Amino acid sequence: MEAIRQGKPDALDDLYEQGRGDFLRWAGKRFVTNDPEDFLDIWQDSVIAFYEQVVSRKLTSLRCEVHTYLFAIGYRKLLKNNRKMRHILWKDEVDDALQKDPEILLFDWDEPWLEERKMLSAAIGQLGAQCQEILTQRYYHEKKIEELKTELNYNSANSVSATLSRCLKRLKEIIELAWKK
Amino acid sequence: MEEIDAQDLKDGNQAAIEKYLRRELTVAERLDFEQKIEADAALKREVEMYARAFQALQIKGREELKERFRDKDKAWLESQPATASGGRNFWLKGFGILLLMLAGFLFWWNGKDARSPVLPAQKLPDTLENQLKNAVPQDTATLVPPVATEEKQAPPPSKKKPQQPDLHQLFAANFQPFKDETMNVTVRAPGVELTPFDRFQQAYWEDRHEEALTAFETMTPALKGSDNLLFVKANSLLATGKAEEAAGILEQIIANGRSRYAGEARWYLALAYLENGTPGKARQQLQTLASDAASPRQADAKKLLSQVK
Repeated sequence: MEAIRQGKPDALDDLYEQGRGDFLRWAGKRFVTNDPEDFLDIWQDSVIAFYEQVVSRKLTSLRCEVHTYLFAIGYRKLLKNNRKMRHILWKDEVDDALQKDPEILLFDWDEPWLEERKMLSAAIGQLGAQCQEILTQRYYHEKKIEELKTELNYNSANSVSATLSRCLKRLKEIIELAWKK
Repeated sequence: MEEIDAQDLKDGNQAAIEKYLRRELTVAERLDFEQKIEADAALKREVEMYARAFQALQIKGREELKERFRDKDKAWLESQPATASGGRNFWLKGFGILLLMLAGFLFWWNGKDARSPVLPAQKLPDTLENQLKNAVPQDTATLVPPVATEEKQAPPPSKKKPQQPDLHQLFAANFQPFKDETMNVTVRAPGVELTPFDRFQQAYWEDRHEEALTAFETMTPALKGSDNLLFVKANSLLATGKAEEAAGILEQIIANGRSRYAGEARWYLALAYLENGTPGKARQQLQTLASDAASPRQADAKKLLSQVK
């Protein structure tokens, strides 16, 4: 978790690749689907959700193994997305974690609806590449101002802050216009 | 390099909104700011728009990560050994060939007595059916003759004009407290004390909604502030006739857009509005649901919309 928080890119990639095969096999035992890509999609979402929780410091420690956490939230997403998908009841440490771990109990999938998602994607597409980059690095990947100054080659922390402020305001204005329509 | 705009640095509102949305305020600051939001419609709108801006960035960040993972998956799938599924396919193909051979044998065997020679290339399904009928005694035939499907005439629509439905009846006919598998808790062993959260979940699952509401109030502030748990509370409120309070909670959940039940919240808000006697507001929510193909409540919303005048 600390490596992910520090922004080491390999840490997240390793986590993704190391758990992928196991998750597909585990999910395949519990859910019947004609498309194994469903499980890949869920695994991506689980790892991304874990990443977001870690970088935002909402998740600072775990009572269970990381893979148990990932499998548990993946399982909840499978249940949520596939109410009609036939699923086979098993009982293992993931079920225990689902019942007992507050980090998993309180976890919520944070997703806007499709129509809103499309609108928001379109809005951010209207921003310049530089604004998109600095805003995503700051507000999604939670990079610090000093890190952004170095990585994106700004003269000073004030420049970074001002650029962030303007880009965010611009994005807000684009969304406001789209919302009015 | 973009120029620094001095005005940006003076935009205190934006800074405060950013801190509020990123939960960087203390509890006292947050409460104070929320009071300002409630008192100032323009500020409230600003906060909503900035919240959406952060949501847009979240969508962008996620898409970038998903793209990165998809590339890894492509490489991984290509590297997977073919024998695992290929082996299975081999046996399936082999079994299929055996079945064909058996069918072919039966075809030949009964073809000796056929009135006209039949070649596999000719109308195979009918011919095969005839041959199999001859091969197998009728009383044990497994062939199911095609059933004539007759379209039944739908009953003519009633010419009687439907009465204005009672809103309370509509609510009662459509309301079921929301449940999904993740809410079904295992009962702990005897002697183990239930936490307020456990009691809340258990009471809710067992439809003891007054108890669930009581248990809710004894939970920690962090849990009580969770939009997911507030959604559950709103259901208990609806179940116990407190639709107005439920509506307030559901409106906030939808506005926050954080809860995994945000989609369902809109459905329940529509029901709350019906129970509160505000069908116009209910229709608005139902129209939004009905126009969203991704919503699990689309079909329900369309049906209810046709009933709400």
